[in-house]
Amino acid sequence: MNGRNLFGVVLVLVLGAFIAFTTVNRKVSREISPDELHQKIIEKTRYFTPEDVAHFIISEDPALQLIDVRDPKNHNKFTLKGAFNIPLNELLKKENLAYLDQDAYKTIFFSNGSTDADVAWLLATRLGYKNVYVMKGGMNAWIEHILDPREHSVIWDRVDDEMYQYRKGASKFFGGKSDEAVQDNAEDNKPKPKTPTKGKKKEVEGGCG
Amino acid sequence: MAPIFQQGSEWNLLAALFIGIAFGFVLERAGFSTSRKLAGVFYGYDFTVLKVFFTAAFTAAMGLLYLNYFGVFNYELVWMPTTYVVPTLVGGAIMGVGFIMGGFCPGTSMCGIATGKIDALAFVGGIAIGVFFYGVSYEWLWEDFRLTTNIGKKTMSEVLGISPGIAVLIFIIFGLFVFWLVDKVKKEYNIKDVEY
Repeated sequence: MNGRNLFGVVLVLVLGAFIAFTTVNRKVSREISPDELHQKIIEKTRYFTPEDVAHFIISEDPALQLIDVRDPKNHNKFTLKGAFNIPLNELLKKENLAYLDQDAYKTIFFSNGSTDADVAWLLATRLGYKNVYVMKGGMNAWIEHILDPREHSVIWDRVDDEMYQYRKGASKFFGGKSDEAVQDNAEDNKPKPKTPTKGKKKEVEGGCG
Repeated sequence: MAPIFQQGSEWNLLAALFIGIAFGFVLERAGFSTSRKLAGVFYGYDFTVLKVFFTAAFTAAMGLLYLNYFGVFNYELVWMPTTYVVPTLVGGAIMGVGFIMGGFCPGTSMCGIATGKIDALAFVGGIAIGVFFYGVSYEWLWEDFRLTTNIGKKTMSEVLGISPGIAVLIFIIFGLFVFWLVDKVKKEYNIKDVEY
């Protein structure tokens, strides 16, 4: 066996040995299939409530990435702390997609309602980006629940109260209406359907400090 | 040409044309357009074809796995034919007989024609007659038989229950062993290299 043959044999064996210990990635294309997308759409696990988002912001969650998909005008008027603006019609620009191309952060989209954020979520998910979420209800819900919390239910129980206290605390943190104002508003508040409560009942101290 | 052109794009045909030309050129340069080279494998005086095809097979196999590893290539898009065990064996035997008798495979016969070889022309004529015979006898001879012993779309790694990477490594080692073996056979029986 001459030198050239030996080199070939060694090269092939080394390359072969390396590839033998890798696993075949059967889904190189990150875009997900319509079936998977459909499943994700009906699962509804993409939603965070405004309370969840408030908690992330208050606790300074390092893995949080808030993306405001409204137009710059609305964004500049008022937005969430730490959020940056990617208008929905510019979401698919390369430099904007770069913000989504990571696994470390949870990206939460929000808009005025849920619709535009949902569209952003749909596009991002279809393109195969992981950890993308939507703030349910958007800024409308944020203002209603966090900045201007009211007692929503005629049947007032401990869970409602904890939620209310939490919202009030968060309201203070985010510079919403004062405690007294909230109390006053609560008086003439009409009963509304209860908003679903999601687990996290955090102590308010962190926010009030 | 999935990473370069979209699937189903018309450019694929153009890509196929250039790949085909390149393939033919390489076959010709490797001396495959002469029937003696191919027949040599069966008569035991020239094992170039065997070596080239083994090398091509494991280069391609490794290429697919490496491109997949680097995220360029979608493994799921590889088209794979369904395996029908007995029909494949029968077809392989018929093709093998054709190989030995003709000294060409379909690809090299086209190269042979391009370089003006009369036997290649005869071989392609034989292919045409064979295709015609298959066509007219399809319904009463082949139609039912063709679809028997179907084991589905299977790769060797799936049949053996090992990962594709390991299967390729085993195939490489087997190929290198065969290379060594045929060299040994040549030396043992003192077979001289033939110039065509």
